[in-house]
Amino acid sequence: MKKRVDKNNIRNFSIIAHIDHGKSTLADRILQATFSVNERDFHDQILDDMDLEQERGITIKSHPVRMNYVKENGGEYELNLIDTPGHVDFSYEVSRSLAACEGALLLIDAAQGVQAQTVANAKLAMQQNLVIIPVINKIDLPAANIEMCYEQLEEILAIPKEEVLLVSAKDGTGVTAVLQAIVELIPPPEKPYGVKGTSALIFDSNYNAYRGVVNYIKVVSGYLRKGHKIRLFSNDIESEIKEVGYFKLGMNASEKLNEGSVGYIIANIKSPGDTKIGDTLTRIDDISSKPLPGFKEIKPMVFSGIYPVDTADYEQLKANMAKLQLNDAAFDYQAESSVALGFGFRCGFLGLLHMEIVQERLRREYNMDIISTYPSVIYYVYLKDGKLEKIDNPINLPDVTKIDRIEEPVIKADILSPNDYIGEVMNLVMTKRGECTSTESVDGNHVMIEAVIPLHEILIDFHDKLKSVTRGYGSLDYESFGYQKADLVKMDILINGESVDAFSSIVHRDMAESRGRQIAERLKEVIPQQMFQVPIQAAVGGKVIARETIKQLRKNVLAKCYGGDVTRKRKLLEKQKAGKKKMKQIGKLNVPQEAFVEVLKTSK
Amino acid sequence: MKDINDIKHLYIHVPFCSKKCDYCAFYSIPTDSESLINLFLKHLEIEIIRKKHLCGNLQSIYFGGGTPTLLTAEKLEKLFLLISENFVIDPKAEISVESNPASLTEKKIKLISSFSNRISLGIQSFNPALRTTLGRNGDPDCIDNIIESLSRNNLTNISADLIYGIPGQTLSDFQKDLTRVLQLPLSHISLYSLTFEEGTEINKKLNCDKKEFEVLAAEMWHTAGNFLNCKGMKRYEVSNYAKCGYECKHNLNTWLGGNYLGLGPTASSYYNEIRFTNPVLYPWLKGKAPEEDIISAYERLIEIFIMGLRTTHPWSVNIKVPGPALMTSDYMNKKLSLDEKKWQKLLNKLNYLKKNNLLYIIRKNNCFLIYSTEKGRLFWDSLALEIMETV
Ligand SMILES: Nc1nc2c(ncn2[C@@H]2O[C@H](COP(=O)(O)OP(=O)(O)OP(=O)(O)O)[C@@H](O)[C@H]2O)c(=O)[nH]1
Ligand code: SF4
Ligand SMILES: [Mg+2]
Repeated sequence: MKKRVDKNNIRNFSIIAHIDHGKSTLADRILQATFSVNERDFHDQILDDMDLEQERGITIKSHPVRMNYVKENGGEYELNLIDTPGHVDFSYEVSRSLAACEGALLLIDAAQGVQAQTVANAKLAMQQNLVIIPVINKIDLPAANIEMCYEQLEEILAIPKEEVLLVSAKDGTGVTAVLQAIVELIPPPEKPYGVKGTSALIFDSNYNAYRGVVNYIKVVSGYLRKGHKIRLFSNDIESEIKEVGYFKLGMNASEKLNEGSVGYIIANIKSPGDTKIGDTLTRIDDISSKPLPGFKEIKPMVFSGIYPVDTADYEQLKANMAKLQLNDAAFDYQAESSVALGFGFRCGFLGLLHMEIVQERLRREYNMDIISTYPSVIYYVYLKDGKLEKIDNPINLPDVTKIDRIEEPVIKADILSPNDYIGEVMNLVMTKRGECTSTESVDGNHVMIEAVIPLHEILIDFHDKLKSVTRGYGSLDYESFGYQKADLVKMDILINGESVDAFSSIVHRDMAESRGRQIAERLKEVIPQQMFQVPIQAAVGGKVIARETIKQLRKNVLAKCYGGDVTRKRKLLEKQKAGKKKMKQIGKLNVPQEAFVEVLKTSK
Repeated sequence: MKDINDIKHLYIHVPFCSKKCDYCAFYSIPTDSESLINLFLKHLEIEIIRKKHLCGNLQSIYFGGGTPTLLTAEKLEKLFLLISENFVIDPKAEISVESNPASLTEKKIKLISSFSNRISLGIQSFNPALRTTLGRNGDPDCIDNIIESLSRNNLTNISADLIYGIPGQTLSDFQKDLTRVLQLPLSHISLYSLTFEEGTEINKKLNCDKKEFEVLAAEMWHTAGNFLNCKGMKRYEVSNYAKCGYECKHNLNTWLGGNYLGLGPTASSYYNEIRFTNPVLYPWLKGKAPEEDIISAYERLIEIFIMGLRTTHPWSVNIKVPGPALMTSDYMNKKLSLDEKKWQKLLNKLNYLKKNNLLYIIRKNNCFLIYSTEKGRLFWDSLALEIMETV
């Protein structure tokens, strides 16, 4: 059996950065440098083990992994690395991962420099008192500008040049120095003052089809092993540990999880709903008196309905959402119903990418055929009788005559942009009904623009537009900033004369017409032609503001159909039949799933 | 299951053409290689010997392709001999040969007339520009000589194939083609709306939205229906028109669910309630068995039912409550039976389609007559899909 690593030789750290700055690639190099991965099994961004992550080339989930590292001049270390996502929509993953660590590698892309999420994530780590090891990555790039990075780190984050490591995760330059810095600069885990007994923080979880609920934990004090009786602080549910282990590339059962270590437990917890991320678990025979500080409750910002295509799948969808939620603490849902779509769920997300990922995971991992409705934020609707209604679904908007005023959520955005594009960025903010509140130069060439913008406008395409007006150099971080009054109206979409509640949205009056036209055009493209003409209309308060017509199908018949074509034709029809099953019947016509996605897109 | 041994309809697929037409998605190989054709004939003989016991007194024979008339007179004779020596052919049988006019010679016409009694001429269009778009070889003006030669040889049951809905074709271009083709002494016409099948040359050539051609093509379909009707040619299937009594018996049999045996690469057969499809040339030469399409009895019934709706022939359904409903057509000498519950479900759907003007349903006591409307045929794919949903 392997020698136990002393607690003083444990190092827990995350890799954090702006999106695409090379976190997962550096993790690859560290895994290789510590011989933690078999060369035969290796592939790029190996920790991104979800198909979706590999396909899109982005990290969606935090991925913990344990390595053994033998320092050159002796000393064996246990390194617990957590690779984190860079996209804003998954920042909750980052903050929870940091809670299991004592240090963080902060990566900066040498060509891009400090970006909005670099700042946001660095601040998260600082708030949690983690030791930050700044690393400039991609120094192999011809466009690398190390001096600029030094300057920005100094100016924006007060990190002196001398502390910064230079790395190319691509070719491996500087990786040994990173490992050395990890063991030398990051402190070993320490039992917090005053904590007695065994306690462990649940920072993530997962539902495994064969083994049930898997809780990802950091043992803050004491130790855990198979057979221990445990109790959850939030709901007093007790169970027995069936397996403890740590993460290699996958789960690795072990005898025991020691104080300070990161790993997992599988207990006989029955329902997915019993586990709460941020909860503390303790041992009944070594009870701890109080829970560890958990996580700040995260509030979803975007809402949309998710419905089973086949109404009979409702219960199954519900069960699968509970399982998915275990692995996505930021995802929230509750039952609702729609005239067009039947029974489904109103779901909360941190942003549009998050919404897209949840839908994709339900489709792929849980084999659900689903459609989703137009996303919405929570509106505060003040009625004339003084009451306040919080509306997250356009169909629930009270009658206009009863409304005194509507307020919408706004966010405070920190936009980092090269000086050259200040004008374009400000212009963009204005077209999105926002207001710039301050600008501050961060170094000779960059400014930080602070702006207050309606959340609804950020959701759809702000980020893409920002990237395009700044040639890819601008970046954005945001946080909620209360509510503001706005002139909002409900826009209905009528297909073949019938209002389809799933397509309704709340929009600013000035934008209703252009938005309505866009949606109508989109729907015209994706709804198949019928034997009759199908009008698509956008209407506000009963008045049609945009109209498109799906022309009538003129003929639909295979010209030649002889002996050999019969089987072929039948198989083709069978395929169409299967496709039609996946469509939602709305009135007389079948609307394909894409239609519900297409209305989201504003520009091609 | 015991093999049926009285199949009355035979199809032979000759998979060779002189050149691939740009719109063609049929299985054919552009070649005139003597040795390949010899090999084909040799293996056709093997297949004939293996399967001829399935057939009884033949009522129809159809030589399709490809271009059967690409074969030299000598080979063609050999092909005909193979058939006449191995099968019993009813004296009244309809024997059709598909041809590309460009490949016909006096000698071949003589031979064809001596063995068969029906020929179809693949004209496609008389308009040179449109022929170029189609990538169709040959000179359509040779037609008059061919017709003359056919009549000299007493082959008078003549059909012609035209294509419409060709990019660039106007309604008046199409009317010109129709007028021109009707100057010929025809008994039958097939009019095919151009389909842009995946993988065809024309599909690659024209990368635009093909939907726009459909609007005009639909109009041409209506125009042709009226025009030919006036000339005594009735549309009896989506794409086929004939003088009374000259409907293609062979094809009607396949549309209305009759048994048939197909020989040659990619040829399909239907008997014992199974559809068989032969493999393509090379595996076929090696003796690879046909693919069997085995589906439930009800699925097969629905398949046959919807195929029949391509034609103007009615299905009749006799019901006895309680008891199964029995479906037949005047063309099929067997009854398809479906249980009461399934029939009710189907009838609901049929009534829905009737409401949408796609079907006629006439009820007399315990008998329903069901046939497609003009609109039902024009939207046959939609109609078929709706009915398939009852499966
Ligand atoms: N030239 C160069 N490219 C690099 C280097 N490190 C990473 N990359 C590339 O940068 C891209 C993003 O790398 P990832 O490792 O996926 O970035 P990430 O930070 O994990 O991205 P997210 O998880 O989505 O936030 C990939 O195409 C990498 O190949 C480097 O040192 N040099
Ligand atoms: S002649 Fe007929 S089978 Fe041959 S390529 Fe042309 S269309 Fe196809
Ligand atoms: Mg990554």
